[in-house]
Amino acid sequence: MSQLISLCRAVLNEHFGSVVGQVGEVLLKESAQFGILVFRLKDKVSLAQIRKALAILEQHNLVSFELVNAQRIVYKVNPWDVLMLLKIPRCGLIIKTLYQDVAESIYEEIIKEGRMTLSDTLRKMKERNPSLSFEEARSKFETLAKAEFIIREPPIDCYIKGCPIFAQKFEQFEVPAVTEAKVYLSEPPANRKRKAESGDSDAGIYWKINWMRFERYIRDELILDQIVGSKTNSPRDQLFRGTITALLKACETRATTIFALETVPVSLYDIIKTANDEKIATIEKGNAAFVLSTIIDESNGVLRKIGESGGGLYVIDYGRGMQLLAQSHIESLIREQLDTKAVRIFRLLQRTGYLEEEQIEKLIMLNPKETRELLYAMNEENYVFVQPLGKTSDFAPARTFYLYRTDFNRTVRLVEESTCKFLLNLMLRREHEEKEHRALLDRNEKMEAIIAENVDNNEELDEAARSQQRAEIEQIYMNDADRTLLGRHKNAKKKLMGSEIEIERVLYLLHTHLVFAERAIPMKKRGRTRKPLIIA
Amino acid sequence: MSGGQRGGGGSAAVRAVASALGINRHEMSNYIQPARSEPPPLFPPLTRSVLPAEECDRQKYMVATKDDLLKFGFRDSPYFLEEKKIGGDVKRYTDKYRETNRTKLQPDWSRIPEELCWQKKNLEQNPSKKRKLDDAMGELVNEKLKRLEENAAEKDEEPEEKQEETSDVEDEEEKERVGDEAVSDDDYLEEDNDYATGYFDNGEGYGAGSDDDLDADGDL
Repeated sequence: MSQLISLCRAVLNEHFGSVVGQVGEVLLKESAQFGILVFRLKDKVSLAQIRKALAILEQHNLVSFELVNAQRIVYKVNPWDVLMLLKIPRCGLIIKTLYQDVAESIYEEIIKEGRMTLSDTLRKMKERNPSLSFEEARSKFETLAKAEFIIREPPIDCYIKGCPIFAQKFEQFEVPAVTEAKVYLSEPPANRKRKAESGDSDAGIYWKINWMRFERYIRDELILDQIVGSKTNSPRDQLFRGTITALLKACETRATTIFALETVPVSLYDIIKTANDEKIATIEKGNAAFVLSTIIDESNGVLRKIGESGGGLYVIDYGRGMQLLAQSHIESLIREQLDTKAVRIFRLLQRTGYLEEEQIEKLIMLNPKETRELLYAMNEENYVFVQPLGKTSDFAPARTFYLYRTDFNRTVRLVEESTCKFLLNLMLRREHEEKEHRALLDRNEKMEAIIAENVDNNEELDEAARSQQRAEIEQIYMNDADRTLLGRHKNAKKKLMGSEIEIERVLYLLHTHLVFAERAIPMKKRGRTRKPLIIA
Repeated sequence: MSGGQRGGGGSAAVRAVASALGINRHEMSNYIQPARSEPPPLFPPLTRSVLPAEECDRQKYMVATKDDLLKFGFRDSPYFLEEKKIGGDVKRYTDKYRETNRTKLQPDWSRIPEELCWQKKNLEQNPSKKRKLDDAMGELVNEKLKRLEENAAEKDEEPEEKQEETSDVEDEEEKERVGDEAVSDDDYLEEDNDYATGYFDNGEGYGAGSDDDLDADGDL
């Protein structure tokens, strides 16, 4: 996955600078000891810079180290951890919709620092918004911890050969007690040393973002959109959405890991209770049963009923849901790229397994020429694959069957790769745009600073004089051509960023499908095997 | 179709393959393209346009957050590490205003391996331990040297008993290995390798005159 690595490097470059990007790239390719890392980066990055870069990666929980054989420390970077950085805006929105602004700024501070103690976070919050009360900030922090959106860093157990070994078992979400007096007073502004020396009561207890929890939330959102649609206008939609949300919420509280292929069974009674307790919606029993039975019929196996106790036991099959989502993405990709007819061929092959060109022609009811062209194009784009089957050992074209088949996971893997490339291209394009318009942007920045300083903060001027002066300054710094150019650039940047965020979601979806599919293999193998369908 | 690579066409072989693939003779020209002499265009016109991405409030908000965090959140934080530009382009008066005042990077040293500390102070935090290690190493080295010297002396006196000596030395090594695991050289002294462990060359036979010359120079 070279595209994945280049993408990760670009992401690291953007967030932490080019040195960290270089160091990260080496570790992404292969986990290594410090000495090997230094050797790989010889003449490119200085020793101190490498150390700093590793420390930065460690601070943001992007590198993990492990003591092998009690001798060597091996550093490792996981590309999917790095790509979490692209989820920052989406997760920020989740926090904002769930817990409002204060929680979101706590989230942002922790994102920026990588890890923080409670006391530090509270001080930062005070700095940002002096009117915020201590109690409110603290309670928001506690809410986040309770909802498991933030998690404690493991405490240090011991040191072996200078390498800290972290404790395995500890209270992951327990918020330490801090008092207002101690937090705000214990920080002399001149001597802002590290926490260990500052004498906070919670020194050394760091909190970080619990990405796993966010992943779970995003996955649930995807599934929800998939089985009930994203519309929320009519009361019917709200009822459907509310029921499934309650179902997912009920599973959330029972500790399922992200690795589970399906949710734990939830009874109808539990769903109604959760809906009322969490104030999602008031659902009557009859309605809920109706909604669930409808969705079971419509959702193509994502929601299943597995028992009758407690008014009916229901599970959501994540693996199936992700597969259907990936399927719809691939299908729409084929539709956009080639044609609806190509989607028909794709579906036919998925259903029947191996088919010859002529059989496809007949079944899909197209003329030979068009079928052939579509098949070749699909083969080129890796949507279908050809399996030659020779009648004789020489595989001469005249004496060979060419059977077409699909390999869905392989296609998804290839699409995932090109999605990485696509995302990388978007990022590079944005960088390029910014470089191109640097001078213009600088001028704009300067102009805005001057307006803010001289006009907006000047109390002597009335409203009319202000707008006049503002216009004058704008006239000096920029002509009309510049202004349109700037507008266009800003628009382009917004579009690029928006696409990046959307593409990231698709990339996550495809990746999750592959992870689930890999895990489900042992189950699938026991099932039926595909046989070539020969039509006389 | 990859007809382009085949070039001119018209040969019997190409026709045979084409007919196997179901391409009629009069259709051949559609698939065979003239040889290209220039690279394909970088941005060819798209045959199909894609639907524009949907813009909603959620997305606008996410874009604003991303922009903000990238511009002010990460770039100004102490965790942003850029290569120092050597020379660069024209020096500008405004350069000094553009520099962001990042606070110094100060990670929690206790959470990262010792080998990553880039500050002298932190390296020498534990001088007694380091000293001890040095002493221990010194002793080991001395011991080894002494042993090697002894070996050499014995060998010079009785070269014919070399074989016996070897086994003796190995026994000795064996005993010592139990004592100090730390000496990694022991790894090389496995019993069934090809190295003549008892053999020691003190270098007397090599480069005959050179040492003498040095001495002579010294005398002068």
